[in-house]
Amino acid sequence: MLHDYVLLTITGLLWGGVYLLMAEGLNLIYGVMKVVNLAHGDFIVAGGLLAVTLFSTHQLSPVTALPIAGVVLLLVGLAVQTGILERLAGSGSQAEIRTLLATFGLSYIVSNVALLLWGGQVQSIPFLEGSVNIGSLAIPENLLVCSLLAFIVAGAVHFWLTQTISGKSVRATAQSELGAAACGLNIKLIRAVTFALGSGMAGAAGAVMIVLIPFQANSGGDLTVQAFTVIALGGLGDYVGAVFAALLLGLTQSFTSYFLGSNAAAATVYLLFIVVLIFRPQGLLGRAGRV
Amino acid sequence: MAQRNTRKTLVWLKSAMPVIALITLFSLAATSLWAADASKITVGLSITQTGPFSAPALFELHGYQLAADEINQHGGLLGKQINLIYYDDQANPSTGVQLYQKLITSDRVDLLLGPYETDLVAAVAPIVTRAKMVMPALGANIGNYQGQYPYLVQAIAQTAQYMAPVVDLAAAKGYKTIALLVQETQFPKEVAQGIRDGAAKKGLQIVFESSYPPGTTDFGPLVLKAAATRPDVIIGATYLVDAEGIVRAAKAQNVNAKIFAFTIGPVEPEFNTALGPAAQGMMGTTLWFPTLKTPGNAEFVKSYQAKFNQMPDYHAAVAYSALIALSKAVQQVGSLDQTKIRDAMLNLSFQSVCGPFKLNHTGLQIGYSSYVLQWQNGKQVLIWPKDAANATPIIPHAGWN
Amino acid sequence: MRAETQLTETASPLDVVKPVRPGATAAKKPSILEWIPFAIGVATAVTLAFRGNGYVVQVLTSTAIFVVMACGWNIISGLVGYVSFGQVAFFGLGAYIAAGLIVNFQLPWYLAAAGAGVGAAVVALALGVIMLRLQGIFFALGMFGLARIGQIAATSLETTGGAMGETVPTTGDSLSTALTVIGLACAAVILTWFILRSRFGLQLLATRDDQIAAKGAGVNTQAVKVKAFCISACLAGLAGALYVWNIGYVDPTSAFNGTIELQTILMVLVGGIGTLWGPAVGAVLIALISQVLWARFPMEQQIILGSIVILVVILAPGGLVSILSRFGWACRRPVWAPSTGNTAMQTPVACQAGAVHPDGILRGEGLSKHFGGVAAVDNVDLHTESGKILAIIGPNGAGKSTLFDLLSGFARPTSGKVCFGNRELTGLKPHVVARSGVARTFQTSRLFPSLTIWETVLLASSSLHESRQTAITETTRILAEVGLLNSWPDFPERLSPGQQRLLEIARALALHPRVLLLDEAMAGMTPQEIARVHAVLEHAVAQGCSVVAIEHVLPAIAGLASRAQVLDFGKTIAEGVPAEVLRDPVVIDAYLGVGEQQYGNN
Repeated sequence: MLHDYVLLTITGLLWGGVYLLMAEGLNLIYGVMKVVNLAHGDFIVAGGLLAVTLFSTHQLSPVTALPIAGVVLLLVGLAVQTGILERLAGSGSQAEIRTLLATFGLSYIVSNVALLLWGGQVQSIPFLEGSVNIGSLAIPENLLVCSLLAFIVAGAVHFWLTQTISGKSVRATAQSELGAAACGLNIKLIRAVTFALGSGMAGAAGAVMIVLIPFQANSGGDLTVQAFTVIALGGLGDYVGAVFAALLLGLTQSFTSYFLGSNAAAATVYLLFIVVLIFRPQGLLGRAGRV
Repeated sequence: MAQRNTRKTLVWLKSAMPVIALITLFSLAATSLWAADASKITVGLSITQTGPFSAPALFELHGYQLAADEINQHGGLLGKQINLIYYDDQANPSTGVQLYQKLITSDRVDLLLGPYETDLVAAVAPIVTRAKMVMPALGANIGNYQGQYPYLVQAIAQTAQYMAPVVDLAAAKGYKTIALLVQETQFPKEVAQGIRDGAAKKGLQIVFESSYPPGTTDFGPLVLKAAATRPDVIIGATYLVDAEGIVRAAKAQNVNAKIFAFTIGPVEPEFNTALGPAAQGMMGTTLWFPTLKTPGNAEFVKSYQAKFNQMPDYHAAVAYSALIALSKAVQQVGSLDQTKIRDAMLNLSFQSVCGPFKLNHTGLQIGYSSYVLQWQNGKQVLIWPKDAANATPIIPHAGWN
Repeated sequence: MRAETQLTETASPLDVVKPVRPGATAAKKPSILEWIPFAIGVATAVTLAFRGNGYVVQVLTSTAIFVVMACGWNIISGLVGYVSFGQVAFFGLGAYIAAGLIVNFQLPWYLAAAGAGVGAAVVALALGVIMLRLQGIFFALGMFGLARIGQIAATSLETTGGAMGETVPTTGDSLSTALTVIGLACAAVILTWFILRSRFGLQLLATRDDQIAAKGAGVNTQAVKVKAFCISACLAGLAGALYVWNIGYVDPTSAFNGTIELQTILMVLVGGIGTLWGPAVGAVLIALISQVLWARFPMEQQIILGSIVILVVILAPGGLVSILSRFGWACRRPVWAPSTGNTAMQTPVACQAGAVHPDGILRGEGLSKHFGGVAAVDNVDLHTESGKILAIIGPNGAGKSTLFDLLSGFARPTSGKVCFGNRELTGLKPHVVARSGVARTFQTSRLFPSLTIWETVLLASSSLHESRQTAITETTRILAEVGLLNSWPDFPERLSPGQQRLLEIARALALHPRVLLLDEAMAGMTPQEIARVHAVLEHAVAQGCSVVAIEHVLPAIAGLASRAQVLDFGKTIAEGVPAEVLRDPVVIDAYLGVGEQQYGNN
């Protein structure tokens, strides 16, 4: 029993890393643009399916496919931002709802394109299917590697945001668009870069996740909600909060799955999501809005 | 002044564009509500082209297409060429119902074929019966063929038979305990019942049984629990995706058993592609195999490979046989009278590539039976029953390394 | 050219029902003309139902079901402005309730459908109280989450067939099904029409435009939102029940299908969100397009539908109806109309009767409001006198508007209490306070862009008076008194800033207040307008009303006020007769700083 609990805790924490990578892109986008990209999950799926193609036709391991998927989705994100979302820039809640509706439509477009490109079957990559044995605990190898990758990418982005000028410009824009513009920052460019980067991270997350769970073209919707739950729990736009929230979500999923089955686990995510929105919209740490 | 007018026109145009686009599409809509064709015999069906069940369903579609081609090459049906119409039901029963309504009332097809798998068959059975059109169905659950849908005939083996040879093999090797993982949908549930009955008869005990909802992707916890009971045999009443998930979880947690067997999963080539070396030794059930010595089997395999550039699986074979059976009945009757065709099918008895096709008086399939296959070194082989086998079974499972 | 007004702050979330161009007034055409296309549409549908083949009838039925769905979504997302991405939750709920009733209790279809509608409304009641506390995207996504939870719950429940669902025995032939459903679609449209012609409709639009101003006008916004949510859920539940009756099968993936949500939203967007005809027009158009797509481009359906959503949102967010309304068609018609007859003769009753009445005294005792470590209002006492005007003055940031918020129920005091007569008002909701006789205006104009001038005042009046006739009469009188009666069908954006302030005052007066709280009401007014306000205030005061006025324009109020109270940093620093207060060195210091004592005032 204890053995099982320890294993569940470890896998839960490792999954937390994966959830973090999933959610970070969304957090970045929300922090700067106050936009929830409803197509985020579909970007993740696209990145994953792209990695599958790279694996099956060019024998590229997911580790190599990760940056490729990231770059492809980055370009897609750039196109979406400059072509669609920038035209919706308005003011206040007016723009928010319109952008939400636009990304709602976008989500269907992306999942349908994925369907056309990769078919409707569920796909995944058989990568590192062994397990690492620590004592009597058998930890899946791929989870370990993917979690590591996720934390590295997350750390890299965090480093960029806090230590470089360009990253700090992004955070400045998130905290005060007017102030940033007054400092001479090109807000349009920053928005484009942010959305592109967020989408790129989604693509990278997909390349990582497809090793762990199979995707099909329509899997995006649930992923978007999971990602949003993480950032809502952590405080929208709060980078550090998202880390705690991701780990918490990973643990919750791990234990609920074991005791109540996967249906209950899926429902738990949504329930958590709604509960957080209603009772603690500023997130667990209560520092909402700080990137 | 002119500038203002131009601007006004531009604004008007900009807003009018969506309207114009919509009106265009609207007129397209009007024209599509009318359709016609009479020089061909249309055979209609819905098939699952997208979603988690699409892999085996596509094999079925190919089977139907191959049979249609062959019939057409040999002069067609009643002197006319067969035209196969199909739509994507997305494994969604309500969509299937609407599609069959469309096929029956709008496309006015001459003959119907059934959709992929039991739940969809159950959903569309009422409207097909109301329309009094015969439909050979590839739904394995016996509940639909008890006489309440007299126009439904079963063109696939009964569910209870699927896992029977696996239980047989386990008993022959002297194993005693089974852990059973069942997906919470109709077909696997009935397979599970068949396993329970079979195990009781053969003296095996089910020490662990648990079900999971479709769409489950993480089998770690479930497999962990099953492993705790130390079973000899782990059986999954599954489809493809869950079978893969269970194997992965078992490998990742280093869970061992002497036999791993799954209903639908190992029979698909996708199973091996997705799992790689982990597929070694996995057993599955099939209703047909390329090396079976049934009449016309070798030619079937060759023509299928030539046309679709892949090996057929049992779904393709049963679908192929189903359309052949239907056309035989139609030729016998000499017309498109649905009731007469149904009666002819009930009395039909012939050797298809899957074995003896025979129905009882309520439409249940009593001729077909099931076999066990295994993945050995990246290839599928038939291992049980002995007289149909083309390789020796690798038993017990060699472990995960 | 539209004037840059302070209304930009109160722009509705969807910028939807655009007021007609300056120079035009709201719809001139009689409403019967609008119903003609509708009648033609219904007649066509009925004819097709009788003449068409099975497939055509099927298309009709599903289109009509979508009309019901679209009308339902329009009510919560368009009229109230709470865009929901989870309407399909109630659709699925209705489908399952109906299926359960038919399969387990063998109820006839109409009882099952009624049960589904009622069930959905009941669930919406419980959920609405919680979910409607969310705003904007949170509400939208929260509803999406609910829909997914509903789907998961349906998948897990064995009694309803679990993941693969179950067959539901259908009765009736397809013709009667189609006719019934068409009838219900008409009913849904007519229901929307009724709402838009009623005071409830006014309350919805006001809530959408500006919840705070609506509360100040006596509207119980929470109740209004929940009611709308329930109606919308009921319609969705009915649609779900009809769907099940039509198809004869229920399963979680179809009943909670995301594409239904996509199509509903698209239909209302294309037609015109927040309008009467939008849902019906959009539903018919998109349903037909979907049929084409299903037949010709089944694999690219969602790409096309998604692209249409994006195009509509970018190019024409108000949909077809908004394009039509630019030419004067299909505009929203104002609710009710002024009474004719000689109103000038009658004495306007602006305040509740009673001269010097102890009940009319508003008292604030030891009021404090802390925000974190900052005391916006610090231990302030205040009282009004019947028939007198109290001026509240002080430098910027002194806490004057916060004080008003405390008095009118918009903020809860950290300590202290508010008494009105012998009732305690502390902690009561703003709309209750408003209806009890304490009415206010706001520092920056909070007017409703979607409501005409007439309707703005009518809103307040009808929340006070049950009787329609009384409300109409009262509104007519008040508008006449402030001199805005002739522009009654226009929208507030046509007014000058000063006139907009007058309108706000009129709205407050419609509540028959005993205490009128005016927050910088005379900002931006021309001298004539100020004179008119003075006349109105004098009338009100003569009836026994007391007025508390925050003012920066000191000459404007110094003449009228009998007392003045000065606030600085949340504390009262001086109080008394205006002339003396203004010469008080402490007061001068607060405004101008040390070293300017020689500056005399007035």
